[in-house]
Amino acid sequence: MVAMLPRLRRFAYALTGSTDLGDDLVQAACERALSRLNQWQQGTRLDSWMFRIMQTIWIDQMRAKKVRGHSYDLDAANDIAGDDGERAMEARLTLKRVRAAVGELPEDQRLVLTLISIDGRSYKEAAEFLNVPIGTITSRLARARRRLYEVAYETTAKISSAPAMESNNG
Amino acid sequence: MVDLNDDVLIAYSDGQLDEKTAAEVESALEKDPAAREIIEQFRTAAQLASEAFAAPFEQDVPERLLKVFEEPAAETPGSEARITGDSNVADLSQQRTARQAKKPGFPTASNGSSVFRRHALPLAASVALIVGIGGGLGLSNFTSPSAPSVVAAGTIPEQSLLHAALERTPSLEALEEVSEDGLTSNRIEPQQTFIDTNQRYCREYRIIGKTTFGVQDLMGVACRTDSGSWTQQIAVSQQVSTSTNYQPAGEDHDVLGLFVNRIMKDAPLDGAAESRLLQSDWQ
Repeated sequence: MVAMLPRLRRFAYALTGSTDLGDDLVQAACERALSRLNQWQQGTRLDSWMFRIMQTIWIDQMRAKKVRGHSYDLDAANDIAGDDGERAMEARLTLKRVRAAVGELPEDQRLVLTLISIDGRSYKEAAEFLNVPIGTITSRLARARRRLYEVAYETTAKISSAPAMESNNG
Repeated sequence: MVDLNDDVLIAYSDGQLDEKTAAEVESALEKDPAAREIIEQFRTAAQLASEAFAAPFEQDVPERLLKVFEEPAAETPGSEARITGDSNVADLSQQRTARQAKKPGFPTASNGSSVFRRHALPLAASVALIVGIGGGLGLSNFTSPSAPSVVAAGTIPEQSLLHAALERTPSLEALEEVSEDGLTSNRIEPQQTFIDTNQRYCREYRIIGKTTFGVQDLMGVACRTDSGSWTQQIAVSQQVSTSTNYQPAGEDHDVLGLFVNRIMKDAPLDGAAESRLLQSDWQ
């Protein structure tokens, strides 16, 4: 049936850019999977099957709604409880920018980044999942990670050179 | 001489190169600080990506997602499976109550569903939810150190230790198997027995599997069919990477507790009722 809700949700979050949209997607995927359990081949990876269902549903939704540049709910995650030191604040802003940057990546790069750097798949697994050569995986991943680093680093530098948090024009 | 381009560097940073190429890259890197910097950036970016999307799911699984896995309750509850004798529902239900009492905000059957959303249940990063799985749970193949293992859906094999434990072992006692070399072992402890909303006998169990790779702590629920086989309903598995930092699972299994509360009809069976079932082949 279904495995690993936290993983599925994280994947869906990265795919959709929103925890709510992501959970909608997980829910739809689980329902579809449950109704088609007989189509899952025992011995194959259930998680890959679930990911593929999610990806299919999401692509269908994108086509149907022509969702473009879908809005990321940037504040939903990482509202770390407890005292808000400057470092914690800065880290949070960095992660917020990273999420925004992931949202702006081309779909193919986002998917590779999600599979490998967020879900922890190997290059080989990602290549099999997406049915592309490993070389394609590697170059998409390198482009995506370069972009993320640029976004995160650039603004981090800005913040740390600012005299105080009040000057944050965010 | 290996070309330290982005493709090579990122594969190196993710440990995806074969040994020979990795060694070549390593020696080339000694003379190339710029390439080392790029690797550092790739690593940082991976870390950031992982952190950016990691947070919420370790804390809170929305109720609507769990609802997907609820089996519809039988429309006309049969009376033959009802718990008889209300005198002594004590031990096991008290045990569950005590477990719940330790968790502030844990919803009980009576206080409604909205509670769950407000009080997020803790769910550690290492915990994977495996629902409705169990055919392959022959207990030797659930120890992949990184990825939570997924086993085939369906029935727990009758030859398996798990089947034997569910069938015969009283709650809070253990059934254990150890491999001949002594390196791997599986210890199964049924936790409690109850009747679900479909009038089936169900048992919550815990498996602690030890291998040379580490320890896997798994808790699950299986229900008995009329034909005498057990089907897996849910399993929550916690992989502990090495046996040295093994910590017994505690709060991480709250999702399971929530699930059990959902499908459990009335209270768990008391020891006497359970032992009657164990001795009568669940008749």
